[in-house]
Amino acid sequence: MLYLVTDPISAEGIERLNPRARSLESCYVEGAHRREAYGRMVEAILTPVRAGRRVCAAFYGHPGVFVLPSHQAIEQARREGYSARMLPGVSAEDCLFADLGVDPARTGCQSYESTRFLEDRPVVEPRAALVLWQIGVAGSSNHSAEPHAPALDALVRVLCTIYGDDHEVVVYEASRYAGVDPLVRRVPLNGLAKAVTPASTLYVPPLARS
Amino acid sequence: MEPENNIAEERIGQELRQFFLDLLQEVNLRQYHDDREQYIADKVESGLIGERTSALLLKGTLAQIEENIMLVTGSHKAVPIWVVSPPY
Repeated sequence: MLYLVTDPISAEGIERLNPRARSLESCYVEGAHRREAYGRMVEAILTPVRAGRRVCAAFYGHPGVFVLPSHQAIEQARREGYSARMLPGVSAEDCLFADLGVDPARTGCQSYESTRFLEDRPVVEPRAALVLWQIGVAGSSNHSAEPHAPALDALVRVLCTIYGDDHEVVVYEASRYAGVDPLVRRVPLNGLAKAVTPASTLYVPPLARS
Repeated sequence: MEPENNIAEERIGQELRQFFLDLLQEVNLRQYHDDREQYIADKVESGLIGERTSALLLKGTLAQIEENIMLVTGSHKAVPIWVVSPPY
């Protein structure tokens, strides 16, 4: 049993279920590119598989949504002839829809990883909702115990050209604790930088249809 | 007691951690969701959590609660964020 979670309570809960469970956090190296960590996670998952063990890997949120090593581990296991499957979980976006009362079916919904959004500059449909993941680490490719978002200002500038400086957006962070409210900060786009937290997701409501 | 001007403290983090770990048991979670205020009051009365922890649970923000939990040291390292999606 391997796991990667963001809070010590989930970690302890998993270890109560299986005392032999161990965290994948040691795969991260301060200052190193995160892709290296994902490669180490894949190996950590596959090594016991190759030794004939039944392996379960748990990731926070949905294991297949914005999680690279889970997909890679399953693909690699299948390439090597092992049976592997993914079970769905609840993603940050699922929580966002519930907590903000947003139905993506109403206007449509665009969903991008922040750094990729900034680099690819996809055509944005402003009359549809926009979700930008990982704004708290926008532009950062290395692991750091102190997350930072060097590209956040650039991201804000891009969004302001599309939506206008005063368009209200929502900085959102799902709660990891039962009964505790999520973090929901409604701010104009030009005030976004001060509202972002390391683990937050940005929800940009659609512009009103004229 | 209001949680404003909350100063994070490891002892409170420990209480919060144990409080939420207890909620992993279904019977506790059911009681918690049935009457959250009473559940928290019972924990105070039984001495499992203090007044400040109670105030945090009732009126604290996610950030305030997390700030205390993250001070807990021990076998489970407090980790603010692990990113598992690539920078492309």
